[in-house]
Amino acid sequence: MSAHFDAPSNVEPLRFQGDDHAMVAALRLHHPGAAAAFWDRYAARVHRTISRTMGPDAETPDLLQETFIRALAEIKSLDDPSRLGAWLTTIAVFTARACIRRRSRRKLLFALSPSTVEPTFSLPVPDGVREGLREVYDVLATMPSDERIAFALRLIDGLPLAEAAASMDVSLATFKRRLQKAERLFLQVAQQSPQLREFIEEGKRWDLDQKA
Amino acid sequence: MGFGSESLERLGARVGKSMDLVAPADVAAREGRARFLAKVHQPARKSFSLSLTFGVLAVAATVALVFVFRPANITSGFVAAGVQGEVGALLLSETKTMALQFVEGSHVELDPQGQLRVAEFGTRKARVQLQRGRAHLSITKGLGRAWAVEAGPFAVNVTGTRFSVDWQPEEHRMEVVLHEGSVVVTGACLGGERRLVAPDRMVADCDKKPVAFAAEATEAEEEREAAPPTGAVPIATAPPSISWRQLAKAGHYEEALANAKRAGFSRICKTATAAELLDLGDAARLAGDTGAAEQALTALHSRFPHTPQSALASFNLGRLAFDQRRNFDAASTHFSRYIAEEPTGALVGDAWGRLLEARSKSRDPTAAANDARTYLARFSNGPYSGLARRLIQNAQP
Repeated sequence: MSAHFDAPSNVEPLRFQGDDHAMVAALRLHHPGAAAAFWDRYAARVHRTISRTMGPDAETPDLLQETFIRALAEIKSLDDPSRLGAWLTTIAVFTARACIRRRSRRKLLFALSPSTVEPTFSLPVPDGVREGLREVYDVLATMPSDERIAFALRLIDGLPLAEAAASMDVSLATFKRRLQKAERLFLQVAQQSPQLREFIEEGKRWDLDQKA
Repeated sequence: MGFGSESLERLGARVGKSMDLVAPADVAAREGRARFLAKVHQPARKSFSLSLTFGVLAVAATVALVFVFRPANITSGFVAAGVQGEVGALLLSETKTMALQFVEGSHVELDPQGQLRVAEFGTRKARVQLQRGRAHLSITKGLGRAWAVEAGPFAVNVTGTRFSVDWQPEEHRMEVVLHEGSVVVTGACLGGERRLVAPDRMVADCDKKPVAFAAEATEAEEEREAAPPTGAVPIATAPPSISWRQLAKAGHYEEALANAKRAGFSRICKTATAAELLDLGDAARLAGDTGAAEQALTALHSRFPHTPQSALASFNLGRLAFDQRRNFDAASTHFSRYIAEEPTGALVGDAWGRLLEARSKSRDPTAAANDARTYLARFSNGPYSGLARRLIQNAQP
């Protein structure tokens, strides 16, 4: 092909186009447009996984960045390019888990530190939604990280069981055990919290259409 | 109480929808894109010892890459818009950015509505003619090929650097923004050679005599540029704050702060808008310059009282006092001020947590207990209620 263009309309910019196989190959070759295309294709999905695992949290943008930087650094280890999206979700899950564990260690080291990180709301949020999210993620913050993530992936993110298990890099049986334990822990706390019970029973106060 | 998996599934679905509302994924993706790409394209920083140890290997690897493992799709020098480039061909970027990748690793990106041609690409010399528009160049060093970008009557000569050139032929105006390295600019109306050193910026206009050199040079550099043979004078074609803000937005905090300091940090603190001062404070904080961050945020708080940005300045000053200065009394003052200024603000929960933590580390148990009581009165089951109760207990004789 020639790059000699007399007609302006013949020129297209060097942007990456292609399926996940082509994208993985391009990322490995440091194609100049591949990183941008990689972000454009997957950033929203990864953000959804992280934010639903972490809740309203000021560190979510940093975790999103960390996930993609780690993915680029480890792209050569991806055996099956058709699993790019699932592989990226696994990295996101492990990045979020590392953050949760870091906070747990910090809590142990500094006994006077707050037991949870205060939720951060960057947008106006209806009071009912704010309260509901706070209640739920306060409970999740008391769980071991693996159970918390199992709960978030399956029940909040709505992933199918097999996909959720793959995201945590565990067998289906292990994932189911973690999920059952998470549900049990969650319901134990819910027994003690009238507000949470109300959210679970009716969801009346959790009106997504209510104005902030 | 009879809750089962279905109840939890319904609850989970509501939580998921709520999270989409409070943290929209598309917005987050849009906002994080530039930061990610800046990181990806940022050259890796190596320690001196590493550079020394592996310097020879690196040179050998570069030679191998260029002469042995050149990408299969680049067969005669460069690809443009995904196809093999031809020397002399006119390239037009139309509505989208066009990228050119050269076999040696150099890159050129032509902004939309631009025109250029690679006029020469030999073993010793490469010449790019920018016919119109803005081009961003990243030239690989050390391969013995001298690069020149020609724009109308001007030429920018480089050996290895990163810079942009904007040429508007109707206005006879050229702008060079240098991000790394140095270049030499020549042109008949310049009356001689001009050497620019990063992060210089230069505007040359042959229709307006004298030629003008502007912007983000140090005072000494401005003096140097102020006396060219044609009588060049400094001009302010753009506020200096634009550049540091762009760098800060791209995540280059140290460079942003350096640029702001070169342009006059104190002057910016006196003249910038509230939003700019908030950005400047963030850039300085993230660059690790606590003093500069405090200066910007203090200026913001005093110049724009009773605004949301002013309250944010209080919060960030509290963080600096807590995290960097370990001055917990000062941190308490700042966080208290944030709570007073923005009692329903987005960060009020964080501010309370930080305030109680700071109080727990300060030497004023009475003040700590007072704040703790106020907190409990407002959030009896809040995440810091345990800490608050301990603070009250500690204050009792």
